[in-house]
Amino acid sequence: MAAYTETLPWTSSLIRPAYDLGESDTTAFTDPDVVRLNADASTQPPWLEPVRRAITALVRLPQNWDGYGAAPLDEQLVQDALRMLLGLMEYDTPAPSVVPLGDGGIQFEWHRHGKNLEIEFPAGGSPSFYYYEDDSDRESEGLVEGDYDELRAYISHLR
Amino acid sequence: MPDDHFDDPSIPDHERLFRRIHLVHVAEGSEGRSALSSAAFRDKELSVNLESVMRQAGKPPDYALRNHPHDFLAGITAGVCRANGQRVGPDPLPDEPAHGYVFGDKPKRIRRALRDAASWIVPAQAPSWEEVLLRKRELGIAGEEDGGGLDPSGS
Repeated sequence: MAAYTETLPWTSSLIRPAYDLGESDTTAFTDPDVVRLNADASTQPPWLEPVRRAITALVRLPQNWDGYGAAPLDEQLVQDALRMLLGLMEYDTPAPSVVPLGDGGIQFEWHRHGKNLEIEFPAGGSPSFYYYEDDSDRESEGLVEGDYDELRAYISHLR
Repeated sequence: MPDDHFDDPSIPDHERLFRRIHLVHVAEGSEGRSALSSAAFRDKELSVNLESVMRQAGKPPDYALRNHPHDFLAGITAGVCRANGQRVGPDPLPDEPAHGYVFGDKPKRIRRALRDAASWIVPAQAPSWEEVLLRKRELGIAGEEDGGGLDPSGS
C-alpha cells in the first residue's frame, strides 16, 4: 500500500498558512490550524486522531516540564514532523506513542510484538529513525529523508 | 553544571543511579505492557541521584521524587553507564546533594542500552500500560482529551 499522502489530497491542508507564532499560544495550537483536515472524517487514517490528541496534550507542557530543564515542544517542528509522518505512514499503520524530547523535539515510537521503531525529530537536527527487534540482533538506523523506502518497510512491519 | 565531566573512580560500578521518569516518557508496549522510552536517557549530561549519597543522608530512593510526585523512578548502575562510554560523576546541588551526572554522547544504540539496563525503582515493577494511562489521565496528558487535568509538568 502506498503512503497515505499518495492516495489522499488533504495532507497539504496541514500547512498552516500565515500562522503567527508570535501571537499564538498552546491553546491556539490545538485549533484546526494545526491539522485542518478538510476530508470527511471517515477517510482519515485511524492513527491520526490519537496522534493529534497526544500532540494537543503535549504542547501544554511548560518550560522545565521534566524538572531537568526540558524545553516546551517546538510547534513548528511538530507541524513538520506530522507532515512527514503523513508522508510515511499508511492508512492502517498503528498509532504511535508520541513522546516529547527534552530539547523541544518530538519522537514517535512503536513497540509491537518485539518490533520497535523510533522516529525522532530533534530540535535543530535532522529527523532520524531507529528500528530494532527484541529477540534478534537486527537493528537499523538512518536519516528519515535519506532512507524513506527502508523506513516505510519498517513501518509496514508494525501492523 | 560542571565544566569538567570527569569520571569519578570513587563511584563504584555497582553504585545505583536514580533517574526520574516523567509519565510522558513511558510509551505503550505490547500486550498491555508499558515501555520506557529511550527519550528518557537522551541528555548528553543526564542528571541522576547517587544512591550512596542519599543513603548516607538517610534518604530512601523515593526521596528523589519528593518534588515530582507524579514521576516514576528508574535505576541504572554506574558500571553499565561506563560500559556504554559514559562518564559518571558527582554534581551536588544546594537542594540536591546527591545530584550527579552520566555524561557522554548518547546515540540511539546507547540510549537503548541504558534504557534496557534500567530497573524500576518506583514502582518496583514495570507498571502496566493501563496504570500509566490512569496516571496520564490525571494529568491531562493521556492524549484522550483536549484539555483539563492537573499541571502537566507533574510538579
